[in-house]
Amino acid sequence: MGLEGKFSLGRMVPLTVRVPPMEAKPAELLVRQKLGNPLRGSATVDFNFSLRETERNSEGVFELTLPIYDLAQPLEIRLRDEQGKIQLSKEVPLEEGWSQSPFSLAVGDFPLSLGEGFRRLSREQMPLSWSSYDSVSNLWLGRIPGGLSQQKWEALGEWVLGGGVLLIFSGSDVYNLDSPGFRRLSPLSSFRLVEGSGETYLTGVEKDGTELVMEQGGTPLLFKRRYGTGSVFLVTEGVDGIREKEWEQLLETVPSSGSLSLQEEATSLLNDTVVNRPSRLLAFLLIGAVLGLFALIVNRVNRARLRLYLLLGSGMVLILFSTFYIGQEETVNNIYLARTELNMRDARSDWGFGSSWLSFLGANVPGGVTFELERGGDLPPLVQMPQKLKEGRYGYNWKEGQGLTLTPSGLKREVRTFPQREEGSLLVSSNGDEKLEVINELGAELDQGVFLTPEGTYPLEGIGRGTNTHYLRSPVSEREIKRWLKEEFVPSYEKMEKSVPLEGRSWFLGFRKEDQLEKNSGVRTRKRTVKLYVIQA
Amino acid sequence: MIPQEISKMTKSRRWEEFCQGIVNSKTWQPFFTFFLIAGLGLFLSIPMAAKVRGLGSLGYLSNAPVFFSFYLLASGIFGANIGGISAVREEGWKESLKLNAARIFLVGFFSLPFVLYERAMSPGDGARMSLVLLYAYLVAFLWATVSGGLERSSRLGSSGAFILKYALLIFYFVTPAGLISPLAGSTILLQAKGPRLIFLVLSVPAGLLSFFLIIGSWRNFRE
Repeated sequence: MGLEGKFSLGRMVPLTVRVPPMEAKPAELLVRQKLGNPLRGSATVDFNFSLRETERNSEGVFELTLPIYDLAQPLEIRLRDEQGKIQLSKEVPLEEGWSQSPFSLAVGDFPLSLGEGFRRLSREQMPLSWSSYDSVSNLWLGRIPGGLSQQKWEALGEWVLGGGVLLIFSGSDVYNLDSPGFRRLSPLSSFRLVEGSGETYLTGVEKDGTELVMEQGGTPLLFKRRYGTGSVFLVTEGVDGIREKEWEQLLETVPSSGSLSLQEEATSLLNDTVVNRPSRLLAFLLIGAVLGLFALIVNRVNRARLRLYLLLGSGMVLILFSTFYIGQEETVNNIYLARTELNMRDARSDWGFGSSWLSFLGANVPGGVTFELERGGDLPPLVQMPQKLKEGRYGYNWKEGQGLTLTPSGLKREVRTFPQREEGSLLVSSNGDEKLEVINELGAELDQGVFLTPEGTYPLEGIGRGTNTHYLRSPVSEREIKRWLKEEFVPSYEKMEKSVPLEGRSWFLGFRKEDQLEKNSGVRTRKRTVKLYVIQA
Repeated sequence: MIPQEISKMTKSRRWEEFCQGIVNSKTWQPFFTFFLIAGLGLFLSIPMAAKVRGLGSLGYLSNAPVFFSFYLLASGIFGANIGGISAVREEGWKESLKLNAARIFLVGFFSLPFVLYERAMSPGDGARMSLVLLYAYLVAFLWATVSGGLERSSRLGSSGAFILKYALLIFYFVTPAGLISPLAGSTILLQAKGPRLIFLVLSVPAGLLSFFLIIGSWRNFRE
């Protein structure tokens, strides 16, 4: 469980499973997580992983990723065969190894003491899926005899594209690491080793966007390059040559940012959703009318028959009023679901990032709520827990499920490497002067847009389908932009404004809001989605 | 006057007396109490929160089971009160049955706007809400029968009967035996836990009512 048993709460956590040889053919792994306690209610989250679709390493070990919400009770893991029989079961305690926030991870040999903030991971235990690094704030690659497999480099690369921070020690150890994966990530190309001050340094041609961060006696020591929304740091010296002072400098320099996530923004979107409800004033008037009419008729009308007829007549009028009100559809929803969707593309560096985050709150759902994800979808970590756990059975079904009431689709989290033609795309071009052209082939209009440049920020009104030409006048202040943007777009804008690498570049941020109301067997789900398109001009 | 006209007039007078017996200016308070309690339930069942972030704090009040819990409580109290009225008005056994049924119909009819408003708020399955209404009327009739019997009992005295009927009513509502308590019963009915459980829940007040009706009929026959 986790990275050598370590994981961060609420994040995607890897779970490696070795299935022993058995007569029956194993088909499915069922992972059950129990949440809550008897006092505040409890719920169960089920994850069903089809072994046919689950990634496995060369030793045949399956790697699953799932979010962990509650530590109080162990994970229950069961192995089901093709006949549906449970062949094996195991409990995995969660009380140890967790941390509240993402941590620094060190892989390989480090002669120096790493310090308290670090967790260690052996090369063999490195995960194969990039989302397994969700608990890591930055990853330090030390001396790794034998290097890393291409699959592991790819996982690291995708994690960095999605916002991870990777630091690689090179120097004389570079030959251990050298591989297509390393060359793709390294800030230097055409590298070679040079001797200086008794140490061996790596040198080479700086790739576009590479910056020198640290020097030692005139020799470059640390290079940095943005890669996607994350960064790769390259130490030109091997890990053995690093002295304590340099180590401390490195610790201060390397940021501890985590993966790019709009999960908090999804939660904020959810929390700010207006609750549809019938008018309290109208209910108050209805109660008053019932009480008033009843008291009036009974006390003022002396003839018993007339009194009864009047009571029935006025009752009918009130019933008609309530029936009319039903037609107004002022109903309280059972499930509120907010989703942020990010589509990011850096045309110049040929990379893209697509992901979505989900936050939901379920209330008063008869029979509970079960989520089904479309096949192959990534599991979204849930930040918002059910209002009353007892009322819900919150489960994920990796495959076809049973008794399901909600099917959020498109919850994939993926890193895309271009060039690849996307279905319906958004292209942005600027002539560097006043003219900005947005070619919208998404098949839908965008509500608002913002053009970010190192010189300033420009608001762009509704962007229709086809070619949109805008003329950039004068930039506006951050405060004005936030005031101008619709309330639901502000959190995502703030996050992206900090995340996009602006150095000498221009980015187009397009926003679109979608509201849906789904009715399914008496359960009303109100869905709000904020789609964010981040395109480098 | 021809006999047909006399018969018509008698019928008309009986109908007038029956209408007078259902509700009049001296017996309207139990109805008013019912509407007050059910209205409070309706008001509380509307979410306090304007935005989702507020649903967590007082959300547990804002749902259909809250309204129906109040509705059932109101039904129990209403039944206990109209049973007392029957005893005070010295209604005969059959007459009290007819009048109580009419009173329950009237209270149910006049409170229907609340139920419809609640249904507008939480649409769900209308059949489940109808089951809870049926359950509430059974509870009201049960307590009208029990209360009438206790109030008519000469051994207990009026204050003794009053205390005993409300003590029994409280016990009935807060009993830990899940299927017996109407509060738990209404939740089971609203969640539609399966036909067997629904039948069991409804059979509790129906069974108790049948039992007390048989006892009442037997006592009436003896007298």
